[in-house]
Amino acid sequence: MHNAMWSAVAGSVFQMRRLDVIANNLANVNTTGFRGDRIMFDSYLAQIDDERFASNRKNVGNISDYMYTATNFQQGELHQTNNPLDVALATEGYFVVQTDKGTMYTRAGNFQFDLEGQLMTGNGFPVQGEGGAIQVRDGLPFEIDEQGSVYQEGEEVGRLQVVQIQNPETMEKVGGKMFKATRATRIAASDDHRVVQGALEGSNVNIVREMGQMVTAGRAFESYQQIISMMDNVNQQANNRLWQVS
Amino acid sequence: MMRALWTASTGMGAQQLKIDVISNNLANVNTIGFKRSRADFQDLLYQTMRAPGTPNATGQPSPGGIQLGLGVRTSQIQAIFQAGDLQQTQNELDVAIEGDGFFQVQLPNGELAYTRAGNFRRNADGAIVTPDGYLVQPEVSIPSDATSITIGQDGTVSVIRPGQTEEEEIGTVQLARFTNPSGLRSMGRNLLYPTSSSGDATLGTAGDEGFGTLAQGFIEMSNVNLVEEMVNMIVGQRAYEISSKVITTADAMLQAAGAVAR
Repeated sequence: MHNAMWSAVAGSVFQMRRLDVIANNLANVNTTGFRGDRIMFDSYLAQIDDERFASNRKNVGNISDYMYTATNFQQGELHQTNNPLDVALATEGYFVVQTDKGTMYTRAGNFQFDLEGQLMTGNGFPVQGEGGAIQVRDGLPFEIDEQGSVYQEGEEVGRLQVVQIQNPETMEKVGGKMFKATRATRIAASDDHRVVQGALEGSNVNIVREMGQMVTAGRAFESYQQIISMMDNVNQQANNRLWQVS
Repeated sequence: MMRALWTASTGMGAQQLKIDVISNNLANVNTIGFKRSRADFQDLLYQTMRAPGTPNATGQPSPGGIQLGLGVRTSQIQAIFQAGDLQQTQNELDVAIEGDGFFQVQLPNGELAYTRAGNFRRNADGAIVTPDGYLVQPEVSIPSDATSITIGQDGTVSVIRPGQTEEEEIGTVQLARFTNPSGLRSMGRNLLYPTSSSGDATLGTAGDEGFGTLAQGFIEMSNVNLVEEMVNMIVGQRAYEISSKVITTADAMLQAAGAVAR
């Protein structure tokens, strides 16, 4: 009986977390280069069963230990903006950004210039080129080719550094559309990527899927609440009976 | 659960701001020299409830952690300095800049501001001013008896006086340029102020390296693209709606949870 109760509680907690993740995905449906998340539940119930059959019952641990989030690294759609400072990657790969907390990786190419003509991200961190930051000559028009080379008046002034990350799922999200590499992340220089100037990559959140997930989460949560109510009822009746018998 | 409520509310706030920016762009679709803006968003911080690799209850390292995002925020509202279309007006004091650069304007308090709107007039003293009466710098005074005014591609202003056949040069309209024009602060009336992020103005002659040339008898229209703004408006409105649905769902869940305790 208590198992049923706790299963329903675990289910409720999971559905709540699921809605948290969906809310964040949907809030970022217009965020350039955003990557959506999903949350998964790792057979918590099965483990409770195993432990019941094994005679030594032990603490089944925190419900959160059986959940994990994973980022969807599918590409978002590219859309044209015609702003020369907007850059998108039409292939796999990441731009490299130098922040005060170390090197970060991003797909968001809404860049700008600082006072000295250095290329910066939308949130003000220098974008890395091959061999340091990218510096353009004051105010002159520039073009970026498919390899990421930046030209002014036909002369190459820098080249955007693009890296390939073989296991992106090991990266940590830090906000600001940036990812941070962990020890397990394998980063390689990219030789096969395509940079598009004048376009941005949208968020990869699929609204229809998220809405479906949201409705499911809401309904599942309500069902779990009904199970909890029901178990509560059963408990109460059992108590009453016991009282009458004694 | 409460987290989802707050996350969704950041989503609604961001989309509302997007619509605010779009409505200002649309309101200025016929404003001379207007530059459209764009709201850029970024994801907020992530709450790491468990880092990837942390051992789980059975002692195995977990395949992934739990990172819960807390919503969205606006990173900046960026002005896009794409050139607008040029429209012919035949008016001799309408000047458009073809390429980079801004006209320099002196405000009544002596400060300098910058503009792309070249729909100039003459004031009582014959000086070239903006429609608000602010002096274009460096000051150019047109003699009252001038019969025709010519503004060259390089900004030289020449006039022909009665009885003369040759043009007389009376001054030059200079242009200013900024390393990061997106850093300029809009102050209404088509005027922009330099900030620490735009840098100081570099003055120069039209047609010099990096500066555009002047076109007399033309004005630069707003660079707002109606179709693009309408599409963006739909996108923003729908995204707003969807975040509000998240709040409805979270509310229904809270209600169900509340109904358990009698």
